[in-house]
Amino acid sequence: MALTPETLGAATSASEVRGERVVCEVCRNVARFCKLSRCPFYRDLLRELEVERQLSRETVYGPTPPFVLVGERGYPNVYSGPLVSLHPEVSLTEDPRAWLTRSVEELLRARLTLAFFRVRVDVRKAERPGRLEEVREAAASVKPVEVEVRHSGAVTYRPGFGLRAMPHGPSLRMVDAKTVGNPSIPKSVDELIEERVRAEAAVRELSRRGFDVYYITRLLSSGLLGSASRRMVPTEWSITAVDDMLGRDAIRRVRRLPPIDEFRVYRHEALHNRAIVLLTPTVWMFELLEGWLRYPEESPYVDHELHFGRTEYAENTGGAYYAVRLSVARHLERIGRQAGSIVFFEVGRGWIPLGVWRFREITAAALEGRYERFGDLREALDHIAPFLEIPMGRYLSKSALIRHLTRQGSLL
Amino acid sequence: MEVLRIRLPNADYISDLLKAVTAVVEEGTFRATQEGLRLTAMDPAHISLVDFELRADAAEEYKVAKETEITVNVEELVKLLRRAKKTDALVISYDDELRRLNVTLSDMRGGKERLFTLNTLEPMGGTMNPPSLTFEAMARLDSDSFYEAIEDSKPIADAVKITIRPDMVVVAAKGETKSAQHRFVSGGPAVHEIDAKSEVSASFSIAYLEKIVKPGKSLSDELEVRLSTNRPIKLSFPITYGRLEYLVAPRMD
Repeated sequence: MALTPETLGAATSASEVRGERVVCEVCRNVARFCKLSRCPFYRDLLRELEVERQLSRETVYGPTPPFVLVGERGYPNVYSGPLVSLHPEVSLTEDPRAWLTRSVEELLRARLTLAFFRVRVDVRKAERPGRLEEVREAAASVKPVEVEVRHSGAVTYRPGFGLRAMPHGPSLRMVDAKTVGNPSIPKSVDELIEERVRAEAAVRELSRRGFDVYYITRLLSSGLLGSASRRMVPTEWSITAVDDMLGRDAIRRVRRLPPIDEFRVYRHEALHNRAIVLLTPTVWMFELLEGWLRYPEESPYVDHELHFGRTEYAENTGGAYYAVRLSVARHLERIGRQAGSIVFFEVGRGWIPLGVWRFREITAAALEGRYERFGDLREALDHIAPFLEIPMGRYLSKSALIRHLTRQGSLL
Repeated sequence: MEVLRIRLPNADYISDLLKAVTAVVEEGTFRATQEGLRLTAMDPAHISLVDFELRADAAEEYKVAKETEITVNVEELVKLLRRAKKTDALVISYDDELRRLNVTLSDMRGGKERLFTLNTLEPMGGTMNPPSLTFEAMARLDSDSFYEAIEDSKPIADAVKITIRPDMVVVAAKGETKSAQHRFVSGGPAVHEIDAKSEVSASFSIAYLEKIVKPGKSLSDELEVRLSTNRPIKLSFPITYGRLEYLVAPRMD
C-alpha cells in the first residue's frame, strides 16, 4: 500500500520527535526553537558572508541549487518558495554522498546560507502556482538556475530545521521571482511531465533512467508529477513517499532473487552516525534498530517487516526506515541476491538534525564497502557487539527479526 | 486450444477466495482437473502453506478438456476480478497454446462484455501435495472472535500461544511489560466444538496468523483449529464448494 501525503503528514515517528528535542551543539538550544540571530556560530557566519547587507537590498540575486521548499504547516495552504544561496562558495555540490566527508559544521554553514523566500500557496493549485511559476519550472532543472527574487518585510532568523529535510537559513516574504537563463530539463523528464504519467509510475521510471532520489523528490514535491489533479507535496512528506515507492519497487524484484549463502556484516561511520548492516541468508525481510547515544538509557527505536512487507507506517523510526530500506533493497538488486537485513543505526551525541538523507547515504556507503562473513547468526552478532556503543542486549530485546530468525520454525 | 472454462454467476466469491490464497503466495500453480481447481503452495520462507480447492459444482459451467497446470500471479488475477461489477457474470478460460488466462465479465442487463487477459508464468516449483499431519486436538470456533483475539494481541507481542484444553481454547500473548489472554469456553457462543483429551499448545507468529485469518473470516463464520504440541497448526475455513486450509509452522518460545 502506498503512503499517501495525508498518512505521512499525520505520521511523525517517535524517533523523529526525539530528533526535534536534540540540543544543538552549536547554539546549545533546542534546534527547533533556536534563534539564529543569537547563535554565535551563525552571527559570525552572517558577518563573514555579509548576509544582512545582501538581504537589505530589495532584490536578491543568486543561484538556487535548485531547491524549492514546500512547507507542511497549514496544509493544504502552505509556505513554499525557492531556497537561494546567499553565498555560492560554501554551497554543497549536488552529490549527497560527498556530503558524508564534510563536517557537521560545514554542512550547517552551507545550509544556513540558503535563504528561503516564501509565499502561501494552496498545494492543490500546483498547475497554477502564480508567483511560483518560474521557480517551479526551475525545480526540474538538473543544474543550478540563477534566480532574481524580490522580497519585502522583515527577515526571520529562525532556522528551518525539519524532521527529514535539511535545514535552511533566514526566511523572507517573496514578492516575485524570475529565473535568469534557462533551466536545464532533460527531454525524458519533460516527456514524463507532459504525458501526465501517474506519479508512482513516473517516480519508478525516473529512477530506472538513473535520476537520483533527491531530484525525483524535488519533482514530486513541486507538483510536476501525476496524471490528474496534481498537487504540491510538502518536502518532508515527498522524501519519504519517494523512498517508499522506490523501496517497494526494488523489493518486488529482490524477492525473486536467490538468497545469499552466509551472514554478512557491513559497517560505515560518518557525521556522528554509525550504520552496521547485517545481511542474513534468508528471504527478504528488514528491520531498522535506531539507537540515540544522547539517550543511552532509553530503548532503541525499532520497526520491521517480514517477507510480505508492511502496510502500516513505520511509526517508531519514521522517514529513516524508508530511507535505510531503499539503500538495502537497491544494494541487493545490484548484487542480484536476496537477503534478510537488520540495520543497527547509532546516532552520536554530536549530531544535529540535518535531514534523513544521511540514513540513506551512510547505509549505502556501508554496503559498498567490504564485508565480513559468518556461518551463523550468533557469530555475526558477537562480531557486531563491540562496534556498538549501546549494549547489544538493548537491541536484542527490541529486535523482532532476531527473535523471528532464532525461534520461528519451518514447515520443511 | 481452450482447455479450461469456468462460468460463475458473479466474480465476488472467487475473488475473495483468491485474495485469501494471496495471504500465503503472490503467485501459484493451479491444477485443473475434472473435480475442480486446486492450488497447494508454501510461502517462500516455508512458514505457511495454503491448500485451496474450488470444486467443479461451484460453477454454472465447468469444463476441463485436459488436465492442466496453470501458474499465474494470483495478486494480479485478483486485481482483474476486482474490476467486476455486482451484475457481471464471470467466465475464466485458459488457452494452453497461447498460455493465457482470459477473464470475461459480461453485464447481462447492459449487453456489455469486457475481456481481460493475463499471461501465465513459468512454474517456480511445480505443484506439491499437502503434507499429511496428525493432530492431537481440534476446536471449531467463531472466526470473528478468533480474529479479534489475534488483533488484541498485536500491541502486546509478536507471537501468541494457542492452547486447546478439553474445556476451553486460550489465546495468550506475553510481552515485556504487558500481557493479554482470550478464553473461549466450551459451550459459549464462540465455541462450536472442542475435541481434546488433554491440554495441547503451541506458539505462532501473529503476523502470519493475521494475514491468514483476516481474509478467511470474511469467507466463513467458522474456523477449525487443529493443534499438536509445538507442531504446525492447521486452520480450516469451511466453504460450500471447496476447501480453504492453511498450515503455519510454530515458534519456539
